[in-house]
Formats: sequence, C-alpha cells, structure tokens
Amino acid sequence: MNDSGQSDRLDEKQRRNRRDRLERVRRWAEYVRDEPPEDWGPQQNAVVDAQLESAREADLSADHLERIRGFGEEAPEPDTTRDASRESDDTTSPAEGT
Amino acid sequence: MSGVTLRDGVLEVDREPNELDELAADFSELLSAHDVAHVFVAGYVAILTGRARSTEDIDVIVERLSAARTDDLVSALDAADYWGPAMPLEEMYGNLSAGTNIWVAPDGQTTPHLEVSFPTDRYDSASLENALAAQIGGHELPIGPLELQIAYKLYLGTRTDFEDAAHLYVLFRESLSEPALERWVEDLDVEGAYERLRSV
Repeated sequence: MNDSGQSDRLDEKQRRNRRDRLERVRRWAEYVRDEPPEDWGPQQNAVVDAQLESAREADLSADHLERIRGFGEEAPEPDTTRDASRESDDTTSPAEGT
Repeated sequence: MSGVTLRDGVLEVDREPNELDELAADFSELLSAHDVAHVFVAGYVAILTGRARSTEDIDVIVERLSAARTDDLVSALDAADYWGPAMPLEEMYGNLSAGTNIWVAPDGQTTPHLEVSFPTDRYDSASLENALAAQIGGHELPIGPLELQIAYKLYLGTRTDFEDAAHLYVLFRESLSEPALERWVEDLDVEGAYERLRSV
C-alpha cells in the first residue's frame, strides 16, 4: 500500500463523513420545521443540557478552556470557497439522525 | 406543525427553555433593565432555533459603553451574583475597549458562560442595529438578523459553522430575505459556500 493510495482512501472517507453529517443536519432541520415542538424540543434540550453537564463534570478551568481555544485559533485560516465542513470539532449530537 | 416561526420580525420558539436559554434570558433581562443595547449572535442563534448541539459560550454583543456605564453594569452584575470566570469583572471596560471579549457567568460557574464584546466591525454593528426579537418560554431576547448569521457562518467556514448555516437555511428558507442574504454573501465574499448551501 503506497502513501498516495492511503491518502486517497482517507480523503474519500472524510468526504463521505462530511456528506453524511450534512445530510443529518438537513433531516433534523426539516424535522424541527415540520413537526411539533413536543416531539423535537425535549430531544434537543436533552442534548444541550447533557453536554453542558458533561462539560461541568470535567471541571476544566477557564484558563484551560482559553488555551484550547487559543490553539484552535492558531489553525490555518479556512478557505471559504471550498468545502467548509472540514474541521473536526464534533459538538453535534447523534440525535440529528432522528 | 413547526415550533419555530419567523413572522414580522419576531422569531417564536415554542419549546421549553434549556439551560442556555435560561442563562441568555437572565442576562438579557439584566442588560435591558440597565438600558444596554445588546444582541445574541453566532452558535447560540442556531441552538435557540433547534440545532441539536450545545456550546460552552453564548456570544453577546453589547453597545459600546463609556467607562462609567460599564462600571455601573459591573456593579449590577455583582449584585446579581455573576462573576468573571476568566478575569475579574472589574477589568471589563479595559478589556472590552481593547477588543478583548470578557466571560460572564453565574457565580462559581465556568460552563456555560456569556462571552461579551463591544462591536468591533460593521457586521457586529449591523447585528446590533437590525436585531430580531426572539421569544421563548415567556422571555424575549434580541438575536442577530438571520441572513447575516448565515452568511457570517459561511465566512467562518469550520464544519460546525457550515452546519449551523445549513440548519438555519433549511429551517427558514421560505421566510428569509433572499436579497439581504445575497448582499451579505457578496459582502463577505462567500459565493462558493453559498452555492453549496443552496444545494443542501
């Protein structure tokens, strides 16, 4: 297996992953748009509140959070004309597949 | 039947408030009580409208205040049991006027927090001047115009930002002002990303 083949496979995997995520975002937005809030509201709030609770349990200091952000801000500037969904922060819930 | 509607410049969100909404609403009420113009922008706007993700910070732009008014605001925040998790609130004016955001949260809390800034460019000013009223759980809070939020998210360009833009676009496609959206897209030079967004 040469490096070029591996790189191509990883690129294809990443493109497929981005497409799938975007499709889930679209389906979730349509669900919010078309269904009553009694259906989607509790699901969304469970995601929001659970992630906050989890972050609090990690008990990270403001200094630590600022360092993480500083590191992120040193990343290369995105090219806004290309596929904008390449970065890897994953804050979205699996609930989007609903 | 949707629980999120945009009608006549008012965004109605008909779900129970979550922890982020409660924090945003409490802070907004304090700012309004002290006549401080403000607007919520960025990821929180997507979450308010149903995006299934969370965030550690709620971005809020406040009007450019004098040192004296900022000190009054700091006193009011102290009295309401807020603190500055990253730096003392007493340093608010110096930081905001130097273009540094300041974190504000209920006493002892770091996550989630408000991330407060003065307007630093015309996009911030446009959000402040053209805010929509958002209503949730009996609260009303100002949010940045959706067309600008979408275009700015495209400009920022991370995966999360693009997905936030897609959520807002799919949800409000029928009620957005297309000329306003296209104006911001052109202004921010994100026509390529906008073409992708239109195909979502």
